[in-house]
Parts: sequence; structure tokens; C-alpha cells
Amino acid sequence: MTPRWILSALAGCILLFLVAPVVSVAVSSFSGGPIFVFPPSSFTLAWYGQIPPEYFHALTVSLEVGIGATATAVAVGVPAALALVRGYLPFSRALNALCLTPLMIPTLVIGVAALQFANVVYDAFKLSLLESIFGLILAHSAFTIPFVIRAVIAGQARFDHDIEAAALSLGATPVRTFFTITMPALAPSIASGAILAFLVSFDDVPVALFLGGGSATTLPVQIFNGTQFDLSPAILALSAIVSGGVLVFIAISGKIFGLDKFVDT
Amino acid sequence: MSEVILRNVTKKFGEYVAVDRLSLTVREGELVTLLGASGSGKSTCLRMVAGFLRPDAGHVFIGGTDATRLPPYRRNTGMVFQQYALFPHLTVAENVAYGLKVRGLPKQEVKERTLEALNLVHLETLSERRPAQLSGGQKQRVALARAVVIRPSVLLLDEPLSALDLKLRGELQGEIRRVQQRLGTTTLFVTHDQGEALSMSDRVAVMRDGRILQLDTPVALYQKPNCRYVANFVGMTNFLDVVIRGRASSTRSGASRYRATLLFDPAFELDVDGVEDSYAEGETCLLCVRPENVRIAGGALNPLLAVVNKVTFSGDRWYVDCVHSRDTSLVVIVPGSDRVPSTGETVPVSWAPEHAVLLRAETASRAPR
Amino acid sequence: MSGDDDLTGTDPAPASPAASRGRWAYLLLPALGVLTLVFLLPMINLGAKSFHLSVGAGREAAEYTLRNYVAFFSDSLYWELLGWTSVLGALVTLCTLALALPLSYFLARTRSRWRSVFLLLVVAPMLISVVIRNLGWLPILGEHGLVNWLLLSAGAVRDPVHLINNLLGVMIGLVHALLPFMILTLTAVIQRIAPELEEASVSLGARPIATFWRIVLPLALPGIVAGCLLVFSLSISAYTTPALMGGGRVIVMATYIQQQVSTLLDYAKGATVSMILLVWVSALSIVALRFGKSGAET
Repeated sequence: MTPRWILSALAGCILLFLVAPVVSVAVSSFSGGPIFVFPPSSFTLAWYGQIPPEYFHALTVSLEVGIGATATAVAVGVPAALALVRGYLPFSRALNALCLTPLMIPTLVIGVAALQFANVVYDAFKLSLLESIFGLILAHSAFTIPFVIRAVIAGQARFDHDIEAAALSLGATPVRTFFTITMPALAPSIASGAILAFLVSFDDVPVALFLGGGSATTLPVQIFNGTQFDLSPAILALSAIVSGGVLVFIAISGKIFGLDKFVDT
Repeated sequence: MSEVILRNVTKKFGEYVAVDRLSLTVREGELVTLLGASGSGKSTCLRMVAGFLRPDAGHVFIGGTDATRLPPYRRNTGMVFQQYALFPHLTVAENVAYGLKVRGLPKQEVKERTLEALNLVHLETLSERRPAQLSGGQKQRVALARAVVIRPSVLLLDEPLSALDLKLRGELQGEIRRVQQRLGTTTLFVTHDQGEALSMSDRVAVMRDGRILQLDTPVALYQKPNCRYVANFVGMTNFLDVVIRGRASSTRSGASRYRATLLFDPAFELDVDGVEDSYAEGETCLLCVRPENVRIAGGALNPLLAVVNKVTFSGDRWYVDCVHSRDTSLVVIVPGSDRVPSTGETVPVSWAPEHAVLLRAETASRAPR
Repeated sequence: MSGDDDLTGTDPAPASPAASRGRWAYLLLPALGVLTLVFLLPMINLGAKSFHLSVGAGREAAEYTLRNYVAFFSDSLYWELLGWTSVLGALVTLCTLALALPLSYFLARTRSRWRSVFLLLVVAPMLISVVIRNLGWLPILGEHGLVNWLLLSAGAVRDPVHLINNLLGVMIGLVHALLPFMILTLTAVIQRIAPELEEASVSLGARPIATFWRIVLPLALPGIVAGCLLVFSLSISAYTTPALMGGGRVIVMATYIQQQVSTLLDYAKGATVSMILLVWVSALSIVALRFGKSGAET
């Protein structure tokens, strides 16, 4: 049937469009000629050896911030999600809304708010949260926590509560049931929320741009600055490495936890 | 001793009364089924025995102990759920062993008893699989093994076979009964499927609106229902309104035989057996006779003449819908190999008086002519 | 033969084992505490700042005033800013919708075993930082890039076309960045429409395009609206892509805010425009939620 074929071709083109920039980064990182000239005149691995050290430093900053913000999110978010679903708390809808609202706020606004609030904190307590990894972790927690809470709430909706009843009837106390049955069953949801939170933190530009800087410059901000002021193909090499890493990470996570967890519409 | 006794148990959800002053004794080693439609309160009862719900009034005794206030994990009950409730992150063997590990039994004993339970349900070869890799029937057998391996005082099954297809259901009914009898475990079974209840149970309690209408062996329940609802819920029944005219003659089995006429056709007389002592002359009662006990033949005192309305074939039998008059109709079951009358034919229908049950009229819904 | 009695309702769900509310509340406290500190307070502070006037770098006068908002809404410059940002957002949304529909329909209906690979290709770019993706556009859209090379070689144009560091570049960048959001929303929506409906339409004589137009689109409409609102609010609040792909020449609300706050240190004005943006986006989200709900009833 002709329409079927046309549809597949269209779909294919759009998919191509989606992956084009990523492929372009990878391909261009091997290009020997002047930057951003197509077609590439030569093939070289040189750029991979010429990545300036500040980019690697930025990478570690991003990882530290990401891990810190994600760890915070899991530590406070998992109990919160459990309480919201099972606690039958008063004002549960308002509390739910509060915990999930940050996801609806533009990151830029969160960044501006964080910057201005950091100044207030400095004026009041002489505590500087600007250009500090700790400050970035705190600011990123504003959206990593909701990601984890949302994922764990969704996981509980899919949860067959009878398995907890089964464990209780077999003699396990509520506490034991929680740790041996409930938590393992929720592990995939927690993991998918944490992974998503980490990646969003890792990729963030606005908040890190406003709040970070100096020795607390994250990788995306470093690349952002580099793209605007000091463009060299070594950035492409680093970007290719990072993209590759993220893709491998997603692929492995998708295999373990099932891809549908990321497609959370 | 592991009897289960519910004494005057009541459970309300807000204004709604789910279980209403219900009393029941399940004797040791017995399999009692709570049979009823949705909303009858049968699952609520089960969950009160399991400990997931606390009665608002009354007591629950398990094995002589008052378990009313005990949490589920201190009751030594084994429960099988409708959707199996297998632990998804544990293997079959680990699922079955869970209750034993919780009790802190030594590793060797856990291993032996797990294997024993798996053998009992014929699943030894699947012990390392995960629940996601099992079929519905296999999952239910694992659930059963998991519940019995702990040697519970009482086994509770909450509509365990509703999620399975017909053939599988039949197989597993047999499995469950076999395991239950082999272990001699006191068992409470909940279902809405009357065929299941009749085939598996030692006794059946028909429930409605939170009360037990009749508690009897399957045979007694089927042959001598004590009210219209039970007669209708368990199997098919023909209902005829009759008026008592007086005694006929005494028969054996303690019942008296009465002469009665159809309420809407006083000309037609028949003999009925009453189960209670006295029926007043002129009293309106309900006659219940099962379709398979009605014959298309003369031979009785005076057969009832009916016109065949519809004939439906069902493999091993025919369902013959006949009408005597505007208010009196009957369904007759005729064996599939017999000759069956055609639509429009007038046939004589009759039954032996001992095959009919006389019930008091519950509501005077229609005025006699 | 009497019929069955009318029996409705199911057995009530069992109540969970009694757990005191107090204990559950403790579990919620850490999250509430952290979120208050890192989100609620900063947002309140931001709102508060918008009601003060700036006096020098990063400082505000003490008195409350509505002057900032009045200034915003009375100055045509700001209306243009808001307007152009919204127009850009609308264009981006339409392009995204047009591109997403075929792919979403394909993903929703395909039974190919490559489906999960395709989904991965849709989702993966979202998880790679947008700076890297924008970087990747440079070799393609630049003066000496792929597209211009194709156009020049084919003789379609004489001079290189400017596809980057301008509004067009920003549009391409935004469409690309937001396309996965639209695709995921639409795929879920179309999947909820039973395929049998299309089969019925075709069996009654309608051609595939007609079926799509008359059956699928109307049923998917609430979800489509929700997706559009989502993409629209994301595009009007986008910062990174306009900054990188616009070459500093494209000013949208987000880049304007960044200028005010980081460069000019006019916190009050930055806060004001941020609050206006926030209100705009929130209003859209609320409307989108309504449409999202009715879409789920298909």
C-alpha cells in the first residue's frame, strides 16, 4: 500500500533529522581540515589528544554535582513518594503539587531565582553559595527531587499491593515486608527516576550558568562558553566522548529496566 | 486443633454493612466455601480471618485462640490471592521459601520443605524460574505451594481461579482439593462460581448482603435449598406459585405430603412434599423443581399441559422452554440423545413430588386472580 | 423461570494495615524541607524582588512598588519582546507538530521489532545536553557546512545561505530540541486510539489519508493540544538554544532575562520579567493539564 511506504520514508527522514546533530558531532570530531568545513578534507584523531584540561575538570564538576543532586533526590524523594501515596496525609493534593511543581518551572527561572537567593543568603549569613559545587548541588536538587518523587509515585501505581499482603500473611512483619518485598519491587522505578534526574542535572545549562563559574564550572557551561568565545575542534572531540558515554549509559539502563520507564507520558 | 470460628462478626465501611453478624465454624480439616455474588461480603469475611481487616464487632478464633486483634503476620494463615501475588524479584523456590525464612528455620529444613512443597504441586523442575516466566496455572500452583509449605492452621483462598480459563480452572480445582485433603488443612475458599463450590467443598455457605443464607453440604444445598435466592443462585430452578389445599398422605423421610393447586390455575392439582411441619390451608407457597427433574411424559396423577415455546440445544442436553399459562412457565432439561418436542407442540410435564421443594412465599408480589 | 437478582458492586478493597499518619509525615519532611529551601524560598524571593526597584548592581530599594510591572506593560519594547517570543514559540510549535505527526503515527502503529530502537533514537537526543546538540548543528548549517555544500554543489544558490546565528538557526535548533517531547506525547495519544477504529473506517470505504483526517486526528485532538501547549511553553522559556544558535542577535525573553541579571546586574528587572514569563508558562500548563485529562478518556 503506497501510503504505508511513504509513511515509513517520512518517519525515517524525521528520525534522521533527530540524530543529525549527534552524528555530526561525532563525524566532525575526526575532521582534519578547518573547523566546520564540509566535506572534511582529512581524517584525524588528533583532536582527541588536544582536549584542554579545563574541560576534564568541568567533567568532574558535572559528575560531582550530578551524583550529589541525585543522591539527595533519592535520599529524600523515595520516602516522600511513599508517604504521599500511602500516608493518606491531609492536604495530600497540595503536597503532591508542591513536590512536583518544580518540573513545570522553566529552568531559566529556577536559575535566576537560585542566583538571587544565593545573594540573599550571602547577605544574611555570609555564606557563599556562588561558584561552589555545594551550591550547585542544592540548586539542582530543586528538580532532581521531583523527578525521583514522580517516578516512585508512578511505580507505586503499577504496584500489585497483594504481594505485601502475601508477605504479611506468610509471617513477615510490616518492616520486614517493606525491606524485603516493597523496596525491591520499587527498585526499577527508583532507578529510572534517579537516572533521569542525573542526566537532567548533567545536561543543565541555565542554573549552572547563573550559579556556577570559576572552579565550579560544569561541562555544559564550559562547552557553552567555548562555543561562543573560543571554538576549537577539541570541543567536538570531548562532546563526542560525552555523547557516546551517555548513549551507552542509556542503552544499558534501558536493557536492565525496560525502555518504557523513560517514555513516561 | 485448627478450627476456624467466626462469631457474630460484623464489618462496616462507613454506613455500608459488608458483613452482618455472621457466624460460621469451619471444622478441622474441612474445606468450606463462601459462595456469593459481588458485594455479598465473602471476600470481606476472608480478609477478616486473614487479619487484613478488623471486625467492628464479634470475634475470630483460629485454632482455639482469639485472633480478632492479631495482625496477619501472627496468625499462621496461608493465603492464596486471585492475582497470585508472587514476589516478582524472587525465583519460584525463593517465593515458596519466603515464609519459612521469615520463621527463621535452619537452611537445610527450608530447602527440604521447599522441595517437598514444589513436589506436591508438580513444579520441581521450575524452581529457578521467575514469576514472569510462568503461565497462569503455574503461577497459581506456586502460590499454593508457598501458602501450604508453612503448614498453616488455616488455608485461605480468595477466588484463586477466576483469572484462569475454563479448562485450567477445572484442573486446578482438582489440584487444590487434592493438596488440601492430603495435608488435612482447614480451608476457607471464596468464589462466585457455584460449580466450583459444589465440586470442591465439604460444605458451602451461600452468602448475600453480608449474611449466610444457607450452610450445607453441596448435595443438600442443591437438593433442598432453603429460600428462593439459594434455589436460584445454585443451579437452575423452576418456580411455581402454589396454594395449599390440605394434606395428601404421609410419606417416609419425615416430610408430609400436601395437596396443592397452582395459584394461577386452581384447576390444576399436584402433590408436594413440605419440609416444615405445618402449612396452613390456603397458604401461598413457592414450589421449586429443577429442570432436570421435570419429565415430558404423562404418568403422574394429572400432568401439567404446556406449550413448547423454545428449544435450545447444548450438546449433552436440550433446554425446552414451555408455557402453561401467562404466569406459569417451565424449563425442562431433556438428555441430548432423546427425542425432543418441537416448538408449538403441547406436551405433558410432570415430576415426582419428592423432587420438588416447597418454600414459604417470601414476598406477596402478585395478587391472585 | 425467574431471572437473576440484580447484583452490583464489588467487594470493598481491604484497608491497609493501620499506620499512624504521624509516622508517614516524618518521611515527607526531609523532602519538604529541602524543597522549601532550594525551591520555594528562592521563588518567593524572586517574586518579592520584582516588587522593588533596582538601585545599583544587585541591590534594590526597600519600598514595595508596582513600577516594574507598570514599566513592562507600558513600554512597547517589552510588548514586542513578549510578542516576538510568543510568535517564535508558535512557529516552532507548528513545525514540531507537522514533523511529529507522521513519526508518531508510525511509532504508534508499527509492529516492527525495531520499534524500541526507534524509540531510543527519539529519546536519546533529549538526554544529551542541548549545548552538544547545538554544537552539532554548526557543521551542518554553517557557511561551509553540509547544507550549503549541497546547495552550492547543486547550483541551487550562488552564495551560502545563512542558516545559523540568526532567527532561522534558533528555529531549527528549537524544533529539533523539542521534537522528542511532541513525539512522545503524540505517540502515547495515538496508541490509545484503538486500531480497530481505523480498520472500520477503511472497511467502510475511506482511504488511509481520509481515515487519518476524519478519525485519528479528531480523536487525538485533546492530546495534540496538550502536546502543543507543552512545546509552546518550553520554547518561550528556552535559553540555551536561542543563545547559541542566535549568535547573540536573537533576543527572546530568556536571553533578555539573562542579560539583565548576569550582565547588567539589574536583579529587579530580571525578576520582573521572570515572573511574567512564569505566569505565562503556568497558565499554559494549567490549560494543558485540562486537555491532557480529556485526552485520556478516549
